[in-house]
Amino acid sequence: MFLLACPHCGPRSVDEFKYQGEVTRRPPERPTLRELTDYVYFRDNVAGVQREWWYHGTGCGLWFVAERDTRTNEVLRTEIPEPSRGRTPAPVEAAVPDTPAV
Amino acid sequence: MSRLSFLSPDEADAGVALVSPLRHAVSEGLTDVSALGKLEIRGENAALEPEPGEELIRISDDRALLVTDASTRAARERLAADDRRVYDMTAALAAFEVEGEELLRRLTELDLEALPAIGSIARGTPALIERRGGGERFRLFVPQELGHFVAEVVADMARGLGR
Amino acid sequence: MRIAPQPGERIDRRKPFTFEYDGAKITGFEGDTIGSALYAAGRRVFSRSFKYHRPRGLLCCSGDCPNCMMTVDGVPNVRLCVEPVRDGAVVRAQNVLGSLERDLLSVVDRLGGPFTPVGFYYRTMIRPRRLWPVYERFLRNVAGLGRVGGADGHARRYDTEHRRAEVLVIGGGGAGRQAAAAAAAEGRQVVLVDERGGVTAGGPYEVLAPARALGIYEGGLVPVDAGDVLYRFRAERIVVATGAIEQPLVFPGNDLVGVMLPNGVRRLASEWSIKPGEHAAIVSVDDNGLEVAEDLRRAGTEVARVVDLRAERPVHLAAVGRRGRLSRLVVDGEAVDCDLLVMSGGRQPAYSLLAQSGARVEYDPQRGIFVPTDLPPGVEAVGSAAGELGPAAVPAASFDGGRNRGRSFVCVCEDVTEKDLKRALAEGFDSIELAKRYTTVTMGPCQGRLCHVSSIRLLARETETDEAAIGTTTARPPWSPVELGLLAGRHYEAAKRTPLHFRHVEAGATMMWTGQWRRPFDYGDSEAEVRAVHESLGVIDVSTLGKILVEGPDAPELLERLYPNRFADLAAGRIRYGVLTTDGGRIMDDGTIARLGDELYYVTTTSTGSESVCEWFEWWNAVWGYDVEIVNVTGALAAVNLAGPRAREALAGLTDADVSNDAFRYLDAKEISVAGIPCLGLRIGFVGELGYELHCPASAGEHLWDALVALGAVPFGLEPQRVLRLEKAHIIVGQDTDSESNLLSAGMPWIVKLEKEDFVGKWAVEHLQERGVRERLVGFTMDVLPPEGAQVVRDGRPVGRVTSARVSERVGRVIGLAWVGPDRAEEGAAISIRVDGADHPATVTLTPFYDPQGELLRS
Repeated sequence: MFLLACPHCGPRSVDEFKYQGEVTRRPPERPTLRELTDYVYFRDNVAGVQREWWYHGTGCGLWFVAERDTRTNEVLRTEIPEPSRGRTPAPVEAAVPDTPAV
Repeated sequence: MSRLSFLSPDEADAGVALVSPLRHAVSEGLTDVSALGKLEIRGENAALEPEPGEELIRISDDRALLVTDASTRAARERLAADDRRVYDMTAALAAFEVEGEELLRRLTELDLEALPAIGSIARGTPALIERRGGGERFRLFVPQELGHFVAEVVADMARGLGR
Repeated sequence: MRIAPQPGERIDRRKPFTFEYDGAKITGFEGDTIGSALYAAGRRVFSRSFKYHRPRGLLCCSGDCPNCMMTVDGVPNVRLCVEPVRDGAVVRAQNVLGSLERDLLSVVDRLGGPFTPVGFYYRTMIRPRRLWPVYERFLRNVAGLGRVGGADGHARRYDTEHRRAEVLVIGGGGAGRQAAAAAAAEGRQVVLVDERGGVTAGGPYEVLAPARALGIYEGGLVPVDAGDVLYRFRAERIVVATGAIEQPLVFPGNDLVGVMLPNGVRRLASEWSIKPGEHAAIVSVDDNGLEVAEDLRRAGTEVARVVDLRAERPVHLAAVGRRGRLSRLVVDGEAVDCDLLVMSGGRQPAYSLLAQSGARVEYDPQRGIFVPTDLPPGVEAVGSAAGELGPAAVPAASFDGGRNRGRSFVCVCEDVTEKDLKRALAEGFDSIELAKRYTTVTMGPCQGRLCHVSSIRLLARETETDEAAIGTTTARPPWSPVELGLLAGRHYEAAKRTPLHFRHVEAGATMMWTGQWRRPFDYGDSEAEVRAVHESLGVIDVSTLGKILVEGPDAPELLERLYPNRFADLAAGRIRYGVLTTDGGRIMDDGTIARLGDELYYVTTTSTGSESVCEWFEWWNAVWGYDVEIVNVTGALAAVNLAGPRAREALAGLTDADVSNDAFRYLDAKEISVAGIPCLGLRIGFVGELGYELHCPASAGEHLWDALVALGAVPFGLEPQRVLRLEKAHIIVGQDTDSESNLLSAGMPWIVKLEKEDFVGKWAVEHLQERGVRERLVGFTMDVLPPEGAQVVRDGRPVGRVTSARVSERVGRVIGLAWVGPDRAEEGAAISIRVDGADHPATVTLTPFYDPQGELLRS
């Protein structure tokens, strides 16, 4: 139950948030099957600082990105990511992967 | 008919009986104020000023809830602008008032000194909480579909405090 | 037997309390604990040990050890030495067969020596294999401490309260009080938590006592056990002042009734004015132990022998007893008669909470203590817990008893002896973590308070290293024993109720859970409800459907990228079915999308999908940044589906709007007033008959429902809806699809518009198209009803499964959906489905079972 600072609401207990995994990179153009599989299913799973998505679901409903040390749960910073403004064919960073339900 | 009138209870004919989501769960010490008009305002709200009888609760720079004692129709028309959209959430949110910080502390981990705020109550139900009148009176807004459940939890906690 | 009032007396002799102990009435005074009152009444045996059932008496009188645990008012494992006396309490011994004085299970101690070494159960009770049930029954009977009655869990009420503190001080000793006062003087909001309740309230800081901090978690979270209430503190600064814990010495007979730690004796004599014994001996490494002599003399106990281990280094040391009670101390062959032995192995900082919070623990070989260092930010240690302790000698890891060969206990909770630890070592469990798991040392109720250091010291000596090399075990919460009920708190199960909930209840519906929602299964007769829809008019509450407004100049573009099909070309006032998939191709939700204006769409989702779909839209838009508002209006609206041949006629009776087939076509969306209520009307094929979905303000839902029912609409529940939807072969996402299902395998290739530049899931479909699908979802008909999950078999081997199946009166057969191999996905293909072990023929159908051309929907 570490504290996570929502960019809107400030520090809140982490149970107000939904964790949505590492920030990954959506392929900019049609990927090969291997590239698609990498993007959809594989994660770096670092023991260290990781950029990751959080959703303040039981709160203001904001999606934001946190930099968290996965070893200590220390959150170094949180930010509202700069969107790609939609026009570009695909975002350079910060795309949404899918992990199928188990 | 105005835009999205199907969201607004006050667009119904006078003969239509409107009911509160809390009507079967009101207990002593819980005042149902669900009938208050509630408008969600999307878009810049820094320049917005509430009129008499209205209250503006800012959730972020571009999201706010306007609460009004009166019909929402006038406010809907007044507030709509090019860079701002208004959604009638009157029927979406159950609202009630309760007394006592201790009761609130059993309901939520939110900092009661930093209200209004949206956060988790009753282990996972989102709620907007504000203080009323500077004392120990609190007003809570919760999704109406969970209103009955939350009212039951409040009544149970009041029993735990010997009320 | 009380003695004259002592200088430090804490009891009020004018206020007696009476409780019941094993049938006898015992009286104590205010300030007494149940333990002290029993001791004053002459009781000396307080428990039987965990494994050997040896009699045990008061040891620490500080709530640190397991020796006085009994069942009080049905609650097991209450430590009597810290449990205040109260009138009417019912106290019972536990872990005994018979009584504390004559426990039949103590046979284990007398005979069990060779049979109960460490690891005995692991090695012995596994064979012969067939006897395991017998062993198991026996072990389950004798294992554990105390019994929880079946209903006792609900007999008490536990609450949880969230608290905040600028400064939270844990421990009400001198250092804790000083730290609290200093922080309060700086204007901080201070709460002091004290286990014993010895601190008086009313000062410049709040006192919570008796209450125990259970742990220090991330984010300054400290749960505090206050009996019936669990306080979840969030503290900006945590000051740990948990003091030090007196350590026992390891020598033969060190667990006999009458062997005690200094503070236990001090509290008996001075706080409760009880004569602890007649003749006492003291063996101590520090002044703390020796100073007890003064308390004893004042109480009238003769101090027969004092062994100061700083001056004396005896080779042999043993306590000898009769029937488990101490009768003499033997030091290097010299015997001293005594019924009380004060042992002091020095004091160890109570660093456990600090270690939990992330501090390191370092061994100081000069002082023989473990000291916390490198405290994490926001956590401080003061006083003895920080290692501020008086001088003491480092005791030997254990003493040899010479000719006195009693057991030397390292751990009294789990009955682990010196011999057990040595054996574990000999068997290769040479790290402290391994030895702990093998012998269970430090794993009992005291959580290592009295045995952690002793076991480390013993391991260090036996492995010829030092304590620093052995290290400590990982400190984990809870630091104090806690009732599970307190951790669980109140039981609340969030239930979502639709605006029509009470109408269903009033109509006698059988309610069921679907996710968090409460919904009607049916109103008593599913078949009749299905028939009503086919033949006349039915109405179902679909308020649970997720409803999302997507509004803004970029709304068409956002939906184009989220859905595989087109929405930019959808005309205002029209509706289109949509399926959401992920980039992996998985089907995640489906629903209808109505365009209400150039920049305004009304999206519906499945009942369980409203939140996840809204999140999904917002997540993608956090990346893309389209100029749209995404507003979840699920709760704002009640929704009903009016279906059946009479639907148009009924609707026309309640509205002035033109609802003719030309004015309100299939897949039209119209804002109309129905029964005086503003509604969004959606003409869709929710079930197989002509139907209208009406969405209106939640608070007007009952009024609308009543008006429809008054016109003869028959309410139908989820079960009839399942039949009606299955007749149309509509899939239910999550029921008929799973994490492997995609648009091609689920038979929806028509929905995919690959000519679009990009949409979520496009690439997965493209690759699937190249590789082909492994399974197909198809309809089937047959004559027996298979259970959901039944196998589709070929040549006796499973090749697929049934996901939905119902008897359809209308179709006249059993209908269902099943996953089959792609080669079977042909109209009329024969498959076999296994029901109750027998294979039954079924026929594949690729079109809806009822009204395949959808003529009724369009009529």
